[in-house]
Amino acid sequence: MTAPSYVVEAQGALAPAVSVAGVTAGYGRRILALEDVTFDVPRGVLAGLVGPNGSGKSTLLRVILGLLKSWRGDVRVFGQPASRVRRRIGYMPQAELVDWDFPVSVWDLVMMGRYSRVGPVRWPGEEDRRVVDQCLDHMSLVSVAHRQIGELSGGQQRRMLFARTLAQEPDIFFLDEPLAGLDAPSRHDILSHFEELRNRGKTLLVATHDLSCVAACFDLTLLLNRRVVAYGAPAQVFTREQLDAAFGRHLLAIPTLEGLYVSHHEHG
Amino acid sequence: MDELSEFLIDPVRYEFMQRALIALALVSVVSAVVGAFVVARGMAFIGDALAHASFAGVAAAFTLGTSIYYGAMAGAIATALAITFVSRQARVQFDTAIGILFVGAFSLGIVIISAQDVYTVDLFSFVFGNVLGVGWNDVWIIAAMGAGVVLVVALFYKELLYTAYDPSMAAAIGIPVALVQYGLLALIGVATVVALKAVGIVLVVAMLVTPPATAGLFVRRLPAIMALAAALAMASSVVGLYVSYHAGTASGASIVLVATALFVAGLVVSPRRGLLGYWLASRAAEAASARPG
Repeated sequence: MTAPSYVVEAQGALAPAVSVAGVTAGYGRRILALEDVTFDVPRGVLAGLVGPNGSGKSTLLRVILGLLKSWRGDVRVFGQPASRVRRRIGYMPQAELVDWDFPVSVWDLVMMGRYSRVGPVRWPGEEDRRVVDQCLDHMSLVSVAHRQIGELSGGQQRRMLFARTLAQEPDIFFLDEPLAGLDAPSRHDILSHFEELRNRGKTLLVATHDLSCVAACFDLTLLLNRRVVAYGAPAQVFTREQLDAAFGRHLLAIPTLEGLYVSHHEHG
Repeated sequence: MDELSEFLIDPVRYEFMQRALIALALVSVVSAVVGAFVVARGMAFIGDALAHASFAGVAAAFTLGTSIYYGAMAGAIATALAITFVSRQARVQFDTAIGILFVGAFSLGIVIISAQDVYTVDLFSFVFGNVLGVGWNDVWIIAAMGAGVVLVVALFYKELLYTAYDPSMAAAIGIPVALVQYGLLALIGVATVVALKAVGIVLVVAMLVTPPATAGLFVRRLPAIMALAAALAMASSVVGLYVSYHAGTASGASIVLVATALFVAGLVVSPRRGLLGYWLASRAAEAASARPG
């Protein structure tokens, strides 16, 4: 059954960053959240994951990360099960799921991003502290580094969660709503970080409600509503038909050149 | 002046007081280190539960004639593991699992004891605590178990911190979350056993919860909470023990009362969360709004 390790590595080198095949998943025994989802994300792209609330975006990320077991189907990250490439995978959860009262500082939280690199039974070293300081600096959080995490504004909290993911120095980023609640300058700032990471060969899969950002900056987008409604370049995916199929007719959309549709409201 | 020094020095002349102070200092550190996690996670109930559950082990050890510490430790750890197992596997809420299992274990202890004909002071010193009856042997056991707990926390601090803070993120970076959760409960179990002889089953939760809760009113990072909680617990122990010596009150309860008084004082004066600060701020706001112009 087990292939020799050089074969596994060779497969890993050729494999797409993410490969999801026929995944059906849900909660408990009855609540179906994803149905027969299949797609590949090539390496070095900035990909969006869009769909209405409850369409399964977060569930899909959790399944890819191996935090939720799928009922059927197969998920690979760099050609391997996620559990074998943990260190290369960065994950930023929704800010709503975070316990903001916990007694850790902003600096402590960003340092958590280094834990998988530090390894068990060891304490973070010089290099880890340097990376943390650098990521705080990138996200303009140096002045609040020693605050308790609950004392930040909503935008700062999201930038902090992104800084933690950056500190891990992963090869692939799974980001759940990193843009929500950010003002225009911070949003622009984070988007330019996404592009810079992509240009350095990193892969990003970003769940977001911000269709205009996806349309403007992303290479690929997956339109999800429990099933894959469409997958491809944003210009091909954001057609009236397909957006209606995913969002019903609830999306406030306007036509632009080439039939591209852009969301008017940010939290669709 | 002489009276004051007499008041302070007189008790320490006795070896049993020296032993008590050393034991309480050790208990303070261990309880603070583990208690900081307990308070951060909002698991105060678990400390109480494990202390009560250890009674089954104490009773069994007493009946079998083996060391009561081993019995207490076995009882506490077995219950800790059972609680984690039941709540993870059986879709029962964590606090429901605690409620069921600790009362069950405590009842088992009572049944074992009631089947015996003799009641002994030694056994009941575990229920209400008897720090003045701590022997050098106890001090060594407390020191060894306490050092073990602190060492494990130091070695696995990252994993304990991340799992306590956000188990699903911890799992995402590959920390064996289930193992760490079992481990944390086992650590809490050992810490309660360490504190048992000093303050007793009924009051052990106070050592685990009150000093870290008080510390949390003033500092907001886990290591700082541990350090301040240890200092507060030591202060409570010394003051409580002196009160107990001079007023002839029960030692464990006196210590806990001092710790409680410190918490109430902290609640009033804490700069961030204190009632005093809140009152002053609202007065200032009123004054500002009442000011003409």
